[in-house]
Amino acid sequence: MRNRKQSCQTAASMASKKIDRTIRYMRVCTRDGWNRTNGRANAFDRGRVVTLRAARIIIALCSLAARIVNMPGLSGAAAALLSPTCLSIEHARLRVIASAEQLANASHAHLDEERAALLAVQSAAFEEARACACSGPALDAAARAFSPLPTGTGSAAAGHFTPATVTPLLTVTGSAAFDSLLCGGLRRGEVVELCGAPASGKTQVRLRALLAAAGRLSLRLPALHLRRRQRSPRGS
Amino acid sequence: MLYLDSTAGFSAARLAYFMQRESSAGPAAPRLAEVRCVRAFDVHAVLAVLDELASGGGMLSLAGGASLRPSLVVVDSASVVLSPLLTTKHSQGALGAVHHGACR
Repeated sequence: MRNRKQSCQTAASMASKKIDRTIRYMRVCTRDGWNRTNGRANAFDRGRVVTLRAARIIIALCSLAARIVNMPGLSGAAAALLSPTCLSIEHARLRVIASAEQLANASHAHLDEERAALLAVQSAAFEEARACACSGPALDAAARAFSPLPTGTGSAAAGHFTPATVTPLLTVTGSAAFDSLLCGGLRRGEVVELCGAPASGKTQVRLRALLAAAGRLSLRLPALHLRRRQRSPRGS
Repeated sequence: MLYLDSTAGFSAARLAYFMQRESSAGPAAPRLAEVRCVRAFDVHAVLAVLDELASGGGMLSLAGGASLRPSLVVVDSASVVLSPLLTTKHSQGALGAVHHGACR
């Protein structure tokens, strides 16, 4: 029993590290109205998801910057974003952005050539993440941010960040709104947390994604719940 | 496809209903065979399955000697198996949840 618990803890720890490393961890919230309204554009709490995703990208970039310039204070500011008060995360995000800009301005004077090049690349990725935090390229920015630190000189190090690593798409979920939040659908190696109030449609979304992953459903499905309300064999 | 069911909420009839309603070609039964449901009603059972998946390179042994390499794993739900551990009397549950990365 003890060995099993230890192995479970090891696997969970590895999975947790993988999540932290790949940053492809997203939280999607269903609303109470999933089974009662049209359920397409407003079925998911878009604002919170986007904010969380942007925050995690900012965390990644700030961690990268902190490693580059050896400033643990910035890591502390980024870690503040991990607090459970996710809804006030926008405020913390702005504070971290200000910290990163101050750090960049203050550190340029005494950095060597390689570090200056890395910081410039980081700043570009940072701006990219700010500009497109709610779209597909944000995942690319996050992937670049979590790629191993280059060890070459300035130009070689900058080139390390150029190719974008995009995880292949595993499947679409069959829901246009859900797929849009996930930047196209479920991706291999990605962990998606689906949370919501009781009877908000979580299991329905999971079952639907399951069927879609089996490659048997059409990619363009109408909203399931509209017909389910009339002829479902069981309640949600 | 692997569905880790900790709430006993998995229903083959519901899946078949979705399939019949949304798919236009062919019967539903052969397609549903691609979906395997494993029931695990406590956190150790859930982690044991995930551990087997992780240690087996994505392979999971099923009853009857069959094996499964799922491309999608659905856990429904994590909060159900974790919430009984979270009490105000003891801190082990909260520590375990934090250790497993379930909450931050």
